[in-house]
Amino acid sequence: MDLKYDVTIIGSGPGGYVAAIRSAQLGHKTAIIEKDKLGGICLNWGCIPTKALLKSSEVYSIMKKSDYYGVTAENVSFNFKNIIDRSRGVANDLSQGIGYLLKKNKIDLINGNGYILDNNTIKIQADNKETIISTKNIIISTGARPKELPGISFSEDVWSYKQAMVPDKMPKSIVVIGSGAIGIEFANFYNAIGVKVNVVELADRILPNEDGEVSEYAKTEFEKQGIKFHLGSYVNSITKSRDALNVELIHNINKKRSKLNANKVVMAVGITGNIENIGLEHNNINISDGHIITNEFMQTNVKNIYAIGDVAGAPWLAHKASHEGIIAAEHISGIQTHTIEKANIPGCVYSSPQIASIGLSESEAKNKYSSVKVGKFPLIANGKAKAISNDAGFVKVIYESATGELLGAHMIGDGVTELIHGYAIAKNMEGTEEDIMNTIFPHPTISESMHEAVLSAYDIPIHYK
Amino acid sequence: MSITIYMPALSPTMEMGNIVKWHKAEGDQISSGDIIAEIETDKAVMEFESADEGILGKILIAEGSVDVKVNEPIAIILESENDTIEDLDIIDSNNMEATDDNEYSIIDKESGEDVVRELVDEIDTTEPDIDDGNRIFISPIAKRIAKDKGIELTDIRGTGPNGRILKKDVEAHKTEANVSAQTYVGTDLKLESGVSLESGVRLEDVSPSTKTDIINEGNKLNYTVTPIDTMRSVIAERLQQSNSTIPSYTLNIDASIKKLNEVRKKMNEDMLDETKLSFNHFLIKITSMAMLHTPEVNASWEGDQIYSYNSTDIGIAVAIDNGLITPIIRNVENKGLLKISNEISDLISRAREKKLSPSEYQGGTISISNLGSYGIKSFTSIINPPQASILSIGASRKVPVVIDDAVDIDELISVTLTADHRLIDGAVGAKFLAYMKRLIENPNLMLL
Repeated sequence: MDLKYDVTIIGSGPGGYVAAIRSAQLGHKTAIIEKDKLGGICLNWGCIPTKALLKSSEVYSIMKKSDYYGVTAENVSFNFKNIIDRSRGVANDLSQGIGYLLKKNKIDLINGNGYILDNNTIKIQADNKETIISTKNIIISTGARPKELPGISFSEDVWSYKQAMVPDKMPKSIVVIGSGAIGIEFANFYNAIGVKVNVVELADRILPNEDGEVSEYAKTEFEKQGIKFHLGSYVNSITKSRDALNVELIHNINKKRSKLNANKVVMAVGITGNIENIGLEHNNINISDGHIITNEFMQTNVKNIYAIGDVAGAPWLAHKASHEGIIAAEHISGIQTHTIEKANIPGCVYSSPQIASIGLSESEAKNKYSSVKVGKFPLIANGKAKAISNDAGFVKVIYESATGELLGAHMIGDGVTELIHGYAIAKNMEGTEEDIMNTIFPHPTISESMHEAVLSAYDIPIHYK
Repeated sequence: MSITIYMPALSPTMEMGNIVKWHKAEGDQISSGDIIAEIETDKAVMEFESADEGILGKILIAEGSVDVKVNEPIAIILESENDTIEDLDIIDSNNMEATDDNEYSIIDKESGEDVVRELVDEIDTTEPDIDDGNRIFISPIAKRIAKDKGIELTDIRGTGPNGRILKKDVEAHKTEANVSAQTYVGTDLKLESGVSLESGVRLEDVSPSTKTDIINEGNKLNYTVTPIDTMRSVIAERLQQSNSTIPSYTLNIDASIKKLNEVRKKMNEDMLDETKLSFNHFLIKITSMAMLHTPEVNASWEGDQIYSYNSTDIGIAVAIDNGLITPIIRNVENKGLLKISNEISDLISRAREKKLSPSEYQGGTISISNLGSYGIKSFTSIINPPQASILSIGASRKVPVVIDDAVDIDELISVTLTADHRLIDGAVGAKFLAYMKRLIENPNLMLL
């Protein structure tokens, strides 16, 4: 192996491997360094395996109410180990797929921990082997890891998402700390398979990054399914007595204390960038608040060193990381590239019902613009949602009155994560309300609600009001 | 035969210009070297000399027109009285590629006027929108905003895929568009000076965007609207760019000017003529000498490389009506105080008349701003790219000092350096300032 590269990428998550492939496509001699499995957190411990788990719990939930559809299924049950095994199998398959893609693109994979010695040299430390490579450019995509709360560390009882994904045995009850996307997805999964779930959230609403109305609606839906929420509260202490954990909560305002019992705690209070042990300090690469600072082309203050994905800051989303990987690779090659508009990055929560959003929430939009138009369409008025008896949810859009710019779109309901890209395309192409009004949405689909929501923003809905 | 006159590029960066005034009317005789028009570029009003001779046959772009693109035909000169306008081969072959010959042959050769009108029509239609293969790519939102604000799509540079015009491109253009209302761009540049709506300017005269703003505010029009003129928008754009892209820092030093004042007074007495050397003349020379002493300062940041200069070209910030300009004294290292003094007074007086040519105010390797005459003690300035530093000179002030156990009076000025840290590190800037102080306090060193 000739150890001289044009581009070397540290970390093979959805940012890193995409950057590597794009780099190779652009004719650069490319290497990628990975200390664990190809595909990073997303593929091995995040996006993908959790979707596998949630599909199992969804199938189980549907089968339990199969009578409703006129189908008889008796003695519906599940095998917890098989659910976990299927999820791992999916992750492993995809990880191997990345290996194949790297090979096909003639990208060298170097296993070990990458450490930047200087801006053209990287040392890769594997178990008993040290490799030094030289490289013209470096892309750091080392990702992030779950944060711990002060005084509460991960343990065999206090799980991170990683442990929550592969337990040996199903807990009877859990307390989930944090009601962001990760917390809510685990709460949904465990609740659906019969685990007693309590969710603790410091903010006064769940999914604090979503539109307020979506938070409210989701909370009601999840409560109907049996999940209990403790808002405006934080965990003060976790103590263990025999088999149970005692989780002491303190209400943030009235300081009232309360106790929850659970077998396990799932802590999902955010993540922090993996900025350690990769040589940032002695290369004087600027960092702030746990992530690397970059410009819009993902360049750090050291010109030939780039950072992408979670390690380059929020929002912590795989699709943002992949996109940044492409930008970095293209910027290195000098071809014209684009930059990311944060308001155009969609976000999804794969709970039941699902949640998907893009752009500003209603309150953010009202703060920023003097006049906005808000349109909302409930799924109970949508033919397809009625036909499948899954009509919980709504679609909401926010437009700037003056320009007809789509400022934000928020959806909750069955399958909405597969629909949000429609609004993403409209936003990216800077379409106005007319472009969506003039688009023909297929009938009968839930996507028709996207059309109706826009009509409603301009006071001309057909199927509602 | 006829000759087409195109909008000239009067400076390397000029892309568009405004025709402030036509000095010749249609039918006037023109000799080579005659000033035929005044054209406003991004910073100055320049006289446009004809290189050709003949009769001004037709003015294609009227006086007061703004944002006329470089190389757009603006007039036609006929070489002799016998020529008629229809001999427009040059326009035909050079500019009218889209016009095919058959179409062109229908035009009535008898009436020159009509031919020109036809041509002007052609020129107009080659630009906007569609039909000729020059399709304008623009996003729906950008298109709507441009239409609402009355911005010509052809004036906007698109930054999206395939040069598509995006919302941000239109917004970036909006400020410039404020100038485009013809009312404000006449022959007199003083129009910038705060047009009060109460003092008789009709709402119709205000550019569309300004008008919208007023209506939205719902106010009783108790404020004045000042459209942004070209100079103001250039100043705004450059300073914004400087402030947001240059990591600058400042250093400040006090220097005693007691000795320098003594030397200066003596020199002014001894010269026996009208010439008077001012403190600024010394300062310009001292700056040049300090730059030679610390050459790292005499450089500019050019993306991935640093240019180091051999000459010290020093810009002097001059406040003019509604703006400022920094005429440059070139090669100060080769010039004596007298030469500096003569050049600066010429540059300043022509700057105030807006008569500088772009080569006289563009470039430069450092600038000096002196607000001492306003009593400002010390201040910082914004770097004028591509320059890498700027000096801010405060007012002189008398301070008590103790010398040999007796209180004496010294006179100090404050010199502040704002420098681009990408190429001038703190110690280098400090070395430069310290040497300036040494020269100011020991003017005899200037003889070296």
